[in-house]
Amino acid sequence: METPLQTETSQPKPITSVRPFWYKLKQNQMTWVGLGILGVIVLCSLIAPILTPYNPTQVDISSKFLAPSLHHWFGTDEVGRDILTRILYGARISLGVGITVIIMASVIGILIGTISGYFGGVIDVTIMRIMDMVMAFPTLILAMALAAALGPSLQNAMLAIAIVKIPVYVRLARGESLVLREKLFVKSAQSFGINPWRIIGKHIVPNSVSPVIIQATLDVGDAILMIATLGFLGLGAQPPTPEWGAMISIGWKYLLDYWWYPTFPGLLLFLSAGSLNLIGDGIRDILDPKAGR
Amino acid sequence: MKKIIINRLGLLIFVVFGVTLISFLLSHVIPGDPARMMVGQRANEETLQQVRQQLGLDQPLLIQYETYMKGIISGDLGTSIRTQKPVIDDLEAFFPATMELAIIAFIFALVIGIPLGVLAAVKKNSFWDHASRIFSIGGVSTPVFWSGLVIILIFYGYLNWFPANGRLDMNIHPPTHITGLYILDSLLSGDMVALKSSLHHILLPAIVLSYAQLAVITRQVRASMLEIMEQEYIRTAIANGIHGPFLFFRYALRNALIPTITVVGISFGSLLGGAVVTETIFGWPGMGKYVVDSIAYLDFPAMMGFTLLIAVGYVIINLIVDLTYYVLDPQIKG
Amino acid sequence: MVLEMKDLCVDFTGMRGKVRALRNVSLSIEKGEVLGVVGESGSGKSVTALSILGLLGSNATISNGEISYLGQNLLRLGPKEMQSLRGKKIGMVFQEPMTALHPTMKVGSQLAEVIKRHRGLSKKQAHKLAVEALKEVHIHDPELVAKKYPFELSGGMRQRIVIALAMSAPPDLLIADEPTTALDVTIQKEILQLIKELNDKRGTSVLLITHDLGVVSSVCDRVMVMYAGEVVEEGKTEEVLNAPSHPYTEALLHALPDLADPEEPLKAIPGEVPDLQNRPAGCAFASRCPKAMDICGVSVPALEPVSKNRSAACWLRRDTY
Repeated sequence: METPLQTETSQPKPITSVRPFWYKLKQNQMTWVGLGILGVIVLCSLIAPILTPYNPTQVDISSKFLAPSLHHWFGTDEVGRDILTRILYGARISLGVGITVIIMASVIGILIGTISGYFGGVIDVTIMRIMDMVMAFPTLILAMALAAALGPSLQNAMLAIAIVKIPVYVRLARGESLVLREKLFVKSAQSFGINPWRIIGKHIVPNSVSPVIIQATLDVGDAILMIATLGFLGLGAQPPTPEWGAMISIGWKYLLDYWWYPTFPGLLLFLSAGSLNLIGDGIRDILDPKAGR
Repeated sequence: MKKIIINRLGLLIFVVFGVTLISFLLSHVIPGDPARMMVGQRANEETLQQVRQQLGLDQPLLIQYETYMKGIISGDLGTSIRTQKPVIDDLEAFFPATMELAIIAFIFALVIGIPLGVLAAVKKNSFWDHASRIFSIGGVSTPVFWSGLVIILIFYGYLNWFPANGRLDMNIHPPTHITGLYILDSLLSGDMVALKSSLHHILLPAIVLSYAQLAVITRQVRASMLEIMEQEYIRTAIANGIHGPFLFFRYALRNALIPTITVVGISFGSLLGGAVVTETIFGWPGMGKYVVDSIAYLDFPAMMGFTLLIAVGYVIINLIVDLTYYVLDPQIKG
Repeated sequence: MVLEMKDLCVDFTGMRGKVRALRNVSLSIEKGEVLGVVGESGSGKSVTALSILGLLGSNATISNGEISYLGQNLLRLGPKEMQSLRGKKIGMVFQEPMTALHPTMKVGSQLAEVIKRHRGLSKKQAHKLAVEALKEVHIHDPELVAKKYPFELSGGMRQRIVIALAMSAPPDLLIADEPTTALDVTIQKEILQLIKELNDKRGTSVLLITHDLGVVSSVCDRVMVMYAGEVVEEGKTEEVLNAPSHPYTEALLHALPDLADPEEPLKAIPGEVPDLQNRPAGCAFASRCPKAMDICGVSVPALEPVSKNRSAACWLRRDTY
């Protein structure tokens, strides 16, 4: 086997159009698998009321712990709720929360990061030192502590995850704005005496979003796992909310007798995070040829 | 070298200070009323006031922080509400179990992850590469609590090959306490029965815990191997007749490992996070299980003590990682 | 004949389909001879060199032709046999000395490693020879330099070490791909002298790839001019440089900076190298050629002898010989 080497004629000149993007996207079958799986999950959760006759929170003790069957594909739980129904409604929570959390973290992160990079000096040093402190904690453990301090609830868990995710975006946006503030169009805007906040809003932020978008795509899957982990530990969504982590947190005690109870919510969690990671991986491969290949 | 270490130690002190500040905020400021949290909703006003006074919560924040810092410096992390024992003593008792699990899982992640990453890079776009890609995307997408459950279901529930609870079989005495790490202690004291049982118990949780980090390390090694393999010096080496494992390991991997080390440091942090969940699932009597048990009781001092300890440990690990750079890469000097 | 290449065609598969990077390239090198290959970037000279050692990327295929080294067809060799040939029989020096060495291994160890491999010696013996090899490329205080890392050395020093690596076996043929391009002018001269010296002393044949006719005139016995993946002219160095047969060679000579008149601005050849993807119908140089005729845009001229030691691919020369 030969090692691939770059030679001067080996690569055609880059073409500045969307063609290479589509070419690479077509090549990247894994990304399509990811998009396919995620698409099915999103669609099913949106049309859940049509797909299933059951209610996600309706208790029916007479049909508790039913094994998977034609009536209940994924079985029922300890109070007779249909697990498939709960999972489908739970998808709205998990995916919705994952995306919301990352949007929160990235928007705040971009703001803080651009301000830090643009103004520099004491502001920059202070902000970055604070970020260093936050980053000194392993993310999950800080999120746990924060969620516990704020009090166990889904909203507080979201806030906790958003906070621990902020420093990554601050760093990214700061790096971009350090470069951008030296650019001619920013310098000329400054020389006209334009308000710095206007410059940040009009020039710095719009030009520093693309690396943030790559990072955000990769982070949504992680956020979904974190929210479920906090739910599992009792620090996130509280029963009877059909959140996947909270479902598993009750279901795992019944694992050996009623295996389907924790297994199916976990499977969906795995499939959602997995498809998001496949998509994120593909996008990074395409936009940042150095990272993947 | 000396200068760097001093520099880093300075940074360490600063970050540790920051960490205590954050954990102070988490335990004293954010929760609104920690005293209410401690005594519970049903307690009467009198007890509440008493606890408040006892905790010094009626003092101004700065004074509270001073008291808090004094406590930490003298090793006082408060008293656990659940166990009624000093948190520091509890953590000390559970620390070795967590360390043992984390170390074994970390060894798995490195010993499997690095060769797998090299294989994926060397055989790029082959079956092995795709398999390792699916394997590692699986790793970062699998919630630890779920993979733990599935593994218990198969290897304990159906096959009954491995135990799924604790560090040793019920009827076996722990080895003589030397380090608190059962594998090491039983080796040192020649206690083969305990050794066998502890290896048997640690295997499943260690595999579950290592999977996510294994995935991260594999991806990183693959990416940096590919980047290195495109560099000119590799082409020169090939043109000079160097090939095979020697080329991949001595020439490429050595330099590919340099960026990997940062990732390894971060992944040890995630490993500690994962340990919390893994220990809960496998009934592993470590700090993670301790803290999850504390959550149910809203045992604040226990949770914050744990958080603080982990953060300080994490900072120290990252310091060690930084220093290994200087050993591996002669180009960074002074 | 040390090396002979016949009608080599190399195709690259890229995003936009197949591109033919080499078209029927033939060359031969006698023992002890220095052959220069000249052309602009993209002319296919590096591809020619890499194809000899089987170092083309996985996106390249050799679709036609033959490369024989001492009578042995290299294109038929398996990967194992090719590996044992690289460095040992054919050495190669690349353009960029700054990045051509293992950054975290001491240069002495890198040399010793290669020597150990080629000659089957012990580590200690190899180290001794490594120091010798450094001495041979005129490195002062070789003992000390052997203990240094590449980043501690200058570009010229590193290129000497790269040459020492390539010559360590010692090989019968040395391929040098733009060995002086990345270096300062004074150092360029020293490196060229070193290559010439090794060629004289050991009788090693050299294939020297460059875009600089000045380099060719100072060391090469014969020269081959390439354009858009084809050989357009080939012959003895003095003859080709004194009286070029192909308008492209002429243009290259014209573009050389005039050392006698440093005030004069550099002259570039007008126009651009054609896109290999959409190669014009006739002669590839026609669009830039001041002497182009009607036939040049229609039909490709073959490389044919124009005098005793000389061939050219140009319609202008068809009738003269």
